[in-house]
Amino acid sequence: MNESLEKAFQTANFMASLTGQRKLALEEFNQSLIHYQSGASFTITRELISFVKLLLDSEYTEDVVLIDDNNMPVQIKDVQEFYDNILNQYFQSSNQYFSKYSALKKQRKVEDLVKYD
Amino acid sequence: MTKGCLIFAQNNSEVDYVKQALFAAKRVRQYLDIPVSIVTDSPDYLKEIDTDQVFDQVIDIWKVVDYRNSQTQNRSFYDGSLKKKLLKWNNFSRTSAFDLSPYDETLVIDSDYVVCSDNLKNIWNNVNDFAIYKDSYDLSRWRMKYEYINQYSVPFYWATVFYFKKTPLTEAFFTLITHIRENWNYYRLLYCVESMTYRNDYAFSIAISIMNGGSTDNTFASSLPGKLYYSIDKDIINSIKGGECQLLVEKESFPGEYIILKTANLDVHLMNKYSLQRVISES
Repeated sequence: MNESLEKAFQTANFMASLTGQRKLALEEFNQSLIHYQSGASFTITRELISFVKLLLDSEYTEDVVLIDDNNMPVQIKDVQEFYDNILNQYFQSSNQYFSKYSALKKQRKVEDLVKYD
Repeated sequence: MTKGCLIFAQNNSEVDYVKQALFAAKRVRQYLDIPVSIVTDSPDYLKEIDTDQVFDQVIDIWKVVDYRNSQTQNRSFYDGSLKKKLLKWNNFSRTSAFDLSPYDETLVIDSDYVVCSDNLKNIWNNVNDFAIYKDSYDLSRWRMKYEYINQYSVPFYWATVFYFKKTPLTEAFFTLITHIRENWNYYRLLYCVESMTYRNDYAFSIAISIMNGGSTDNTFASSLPGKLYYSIDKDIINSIKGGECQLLVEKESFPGEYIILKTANLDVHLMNKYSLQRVISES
């Protein structure tokens, strides 16, 4: 195998690992968006955040029923607290995802992609 | 309400499930901060290796359930995509989780489920009696997805990790699984499972379908949060450090060639038992 072809295969392997790492970073982000409340789980989406904000703006601040990821109705006692928690968790998770993704973008070697933090 | 984790471990001639369970238990205590009990047929061996007394309770399976007259079964255990061995597979005891668990709320995990996050820390006091993974993510991203137990049959659920409360409803569910296990040949034909090998994932999937009245509209089993991340035994585990696992994942169409990947803060089901054993020995 000539040198340029070998390099091409190395690059292809790097790209395969890079794609895998990017997908895993996204999975990690998705996993970190799960919020637990009263034995129920909610995936924090932009839709959930907007809906809860709408509830607050409409002055529904106490004992509001939300539907969790398993379609179970859950009573949220303090809507403002719930909103603060999910918003905070969303920002923390997205910031982590951003820094992880940015770090991956800078890497040029396979070993740097998978080195331990 | 007591809560804790339960791990099943029955060794065969080459796979040391007990050592794997000990490794898994330490991680459960570290990340989830709950007591862990083990169901095993090798309590004396466990005493030798568990010097830190990691386990809350050691349940000797032979004292509780006698599977010696049950049919034994074998399956291939791969170590990477090029090497495999046919070994005994003792996977019948999982159906007794309800009777054997010392806890009111139990998280059951496989001995090769490597907890790397506190994702499961908040499942307690659940609004549902039973929760299990349906959605999964294969680290290779190209292999067949487990969505149904086969193309003609019921949705697939992973018995690798599940949560249950001791209630009459879950008792009925486990009775049903035991019945399916005892009549596996009938149920596998009924649900078009080609393999004669009894697999807990299939039995749980069939039982969930029956609990739902045969409907795919699932009301009995809720989903555990997120997805089940897994790597099959054709992949190789390179190392595990803290919440990170470095793996060589099988390449599509190139047996024996791998892509290196690292997972971080994701709980992973690592099915290559040989590889996991090597990593545990080195740690």
